[in-house]
Amino acid sequence: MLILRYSIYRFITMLATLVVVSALVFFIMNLPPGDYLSNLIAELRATGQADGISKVEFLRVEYSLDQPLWKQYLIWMGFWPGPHGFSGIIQGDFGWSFEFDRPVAEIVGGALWLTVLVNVAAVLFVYLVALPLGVLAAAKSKTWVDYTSAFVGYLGLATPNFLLALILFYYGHKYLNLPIGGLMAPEFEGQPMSPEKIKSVLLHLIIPTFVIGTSGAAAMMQRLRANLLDELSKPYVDTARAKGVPPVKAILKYPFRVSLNPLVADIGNLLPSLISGSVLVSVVLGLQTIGPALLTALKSQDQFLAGFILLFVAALTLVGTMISDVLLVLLDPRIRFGGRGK
Amino acid sequence: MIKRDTRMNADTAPLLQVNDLSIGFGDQPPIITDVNFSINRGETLALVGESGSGKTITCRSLLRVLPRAAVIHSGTAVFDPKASAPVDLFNLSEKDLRDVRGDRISMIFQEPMHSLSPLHRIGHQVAEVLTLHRGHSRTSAKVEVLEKFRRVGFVDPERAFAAYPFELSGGMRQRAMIAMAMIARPELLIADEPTTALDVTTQAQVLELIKGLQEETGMAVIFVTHDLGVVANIADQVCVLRKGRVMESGPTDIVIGAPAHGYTKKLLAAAPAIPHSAEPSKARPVVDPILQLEGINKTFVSRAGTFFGKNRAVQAVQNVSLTVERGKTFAIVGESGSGKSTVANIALGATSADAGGEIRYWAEKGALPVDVAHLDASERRSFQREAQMVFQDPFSSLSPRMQIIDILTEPLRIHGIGTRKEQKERAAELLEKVGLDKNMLRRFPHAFSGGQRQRLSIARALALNPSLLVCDEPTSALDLSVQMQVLELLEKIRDDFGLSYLFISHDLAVVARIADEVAVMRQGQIVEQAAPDVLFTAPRHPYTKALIAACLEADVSQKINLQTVALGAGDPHTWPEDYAMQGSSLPPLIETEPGHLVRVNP
Repeated sequence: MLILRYSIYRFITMLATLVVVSALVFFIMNLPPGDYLSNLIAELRATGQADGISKVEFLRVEYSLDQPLWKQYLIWMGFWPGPHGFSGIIQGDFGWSFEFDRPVAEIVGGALWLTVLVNVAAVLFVYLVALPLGVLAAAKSKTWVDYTSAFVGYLGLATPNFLLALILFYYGHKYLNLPIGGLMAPEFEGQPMSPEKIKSVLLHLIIPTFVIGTSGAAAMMQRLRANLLDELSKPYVDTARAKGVPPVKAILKYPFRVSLNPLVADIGNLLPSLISGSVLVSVVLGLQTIGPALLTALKSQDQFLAGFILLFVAALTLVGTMISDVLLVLLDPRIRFGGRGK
Repeated sequence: MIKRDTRMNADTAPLLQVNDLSIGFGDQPPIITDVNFSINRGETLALVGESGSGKTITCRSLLRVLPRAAVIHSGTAVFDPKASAPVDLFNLSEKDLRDVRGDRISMIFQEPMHSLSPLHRIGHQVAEVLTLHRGHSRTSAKVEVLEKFRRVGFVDPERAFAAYPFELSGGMRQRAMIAMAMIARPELLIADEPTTALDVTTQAQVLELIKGLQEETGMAVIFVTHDLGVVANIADQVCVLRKGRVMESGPTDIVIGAPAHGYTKKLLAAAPAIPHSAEPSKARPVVDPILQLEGINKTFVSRAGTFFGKNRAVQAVQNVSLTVERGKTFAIVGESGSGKSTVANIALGATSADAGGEIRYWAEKGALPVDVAHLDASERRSFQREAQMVFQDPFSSLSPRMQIIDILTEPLRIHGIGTRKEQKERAAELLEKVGLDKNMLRRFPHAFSGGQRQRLSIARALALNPSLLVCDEPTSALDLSVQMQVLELLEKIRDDFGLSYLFISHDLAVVARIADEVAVMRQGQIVEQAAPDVLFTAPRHPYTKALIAACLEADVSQKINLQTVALGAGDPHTWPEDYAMQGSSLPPLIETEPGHLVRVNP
């Protein structure tokens, strides 16, 4: 009951934060002088193609770029009626990409879900690798197990992702016949979901997941090892041993649970760093995520496209933070009853 | 080693016989050397020694709950030799030892605050012993746990079962630990300083509980402690350890009553005691105050458990007034939760009091007082130079990553006093003042012992040449003999530099020694205040009397009835009529004779 109430409360604050973030994103994007259309007009004038100007002027009115900035923002979000009534983000109209000359929704549509897929896979990979290795390294600290995992971990941290990607592609293809580039075989692109398509996507996911997740996993493993080592020297661990709890259980049931807190709190931070970190990797690996689109949009001041992508990343982050907050409340009674303790 | 065991004879084989125990860390020379002791069923053996004597390592080695680097070099620990298959605890496989742990031999640790997992319900942690060793189901274990909780003194066992450790006080957590240790009815209980972190009344309660349980079950108890007062009151046999060797062992009456070894005598001499009689001195009016608190209240608002629930207010300090005289020591004693540390923080302006009270500070005699609660930035800086604090725990109040020189010069740097060279000279001078060598400046705190660290904290507090030191339990974390040295140092610098102390402690014996004026606090209120020789020889308030009675002295001829003192002062509604609580308030604090304030009906 308490959890439900807390989750609702957290959800409401998340929506409020999202609105603030959207305003920040919009105004920061508009800080550099000019916008895509005025740049275009200047270019058309300079090259003497005056006939194109009228179309651009039409777009300017159509997308309310002639309005003051605060009104543009409200119209973009859908809080204020534009030329065609309420039609903004909250109504599901994500705007027009001038660069690609297509609706934003069409450009990012498929890429959004692939982005989520790639990053969720990477997060899962991070936790699946980091948790057991971190526990092992702490339990066997200062033995060859510890040193080996630390070595592999630092290697993972230190290798540039794109380099790792190229190496893995080469050997993955040579020995395991893993596909190179993309997130599915070309023949499935634009096709409806089918078992073969899912299989193809999963096969293509292996290397990107590994590449994007490695450094995160290495960092988290080291953090878990340090946390757990701190906890292992706490008196309650001795209490458990003196009770006759078997060694593995004595680690997993008590200190491991306490040392999980910072890792759970990391979920929210992990998502944005993975997404921004994976932009370059996506370009190298030819993944159809929103990374490459974001790069293009930012370069050409394509504000609706860039704004939408940034807002989407912010939403992912906030959802991650919310999940970690709710999990923390579930995991740690000290947080749950924060007010009741002495 | 002096061994005077008069009880051992052939037909009563001991429950546990430890022979020639040696333990070391890695390849280093052993820290425990040839330790022998034995304990009979139903008996209490006290392992006594200062920190570093190896008493904790010795008792932990029995269940092999040792630091990873510690290695048992040699020795046997034969458990239950009369049984058909006696076991050598040091020779058992890890798996067989697990069956002994928590079942036949159980342990209680010193830190009730940290010895329970913070994330698991107390009931489940206790019940785990039964599910591990007795194959109980969760429900059948719960029935037994509730029963045991009732026995160890939880008024509402169901609530205690569902509680998390942070919801209970230190004494209650130690009760939960005892319940956990006793739930499987062990034959031997090892208690490692179980009452050191508790205040006197709670200590008496816990000791009484252990004694009572021992009588019911006939278990043997190994009691590790540095407190000879505790030993004199509960132990049958004593084993005195020093630097990993047994100095003297034998029945308590003899070892404590008539010690033969010089070290035992030295320990006994260092044990502080409340003076039994003295000429009460005449009260003098305060002529030169340095700090005055008047009508101080402090209410803490604890947030409600839910986001929409009501907040709850706790009044930690109620209408406290006191005056510290220049060059003297004003002490506040009280149990944990009495609000004494809050008063200390308020006195320094570190915590703000509720509106209404006043805190005055006189920089020098006859000067205009400043109002500590409403200082502007520059007044605050100069007040911080004048008033400094010494903390309780010398292990956590010094940054482990800073060298001593940086720790000592930091206050000077903050206040921009002197050049680097002058600051360094000042640091060296400070070290000498507190009795440490000035070539220790480049060391880190971990290279120092507890007593040395407390000297460092004092040196740091002295760096700015303050006039007022607030000492919050400065000796509670220290060994008895070290405690004595630190008290001597505090007295010396007080007299050398004309310092004034506001001294917070729960230890009446320490206060009896250093204070010029003592206030006894109970639940945020001063219940009695007088000069120490008056307060300790002619206490009037029932609460003060109970506190004094609960102090255990290292005297076997004067054993205290733990059962009586464990009750403490009891419910304030049941006190003698003049002192009793009426409704929800105690009588007013009035001066019954010059210099003696008591909360009593006029």
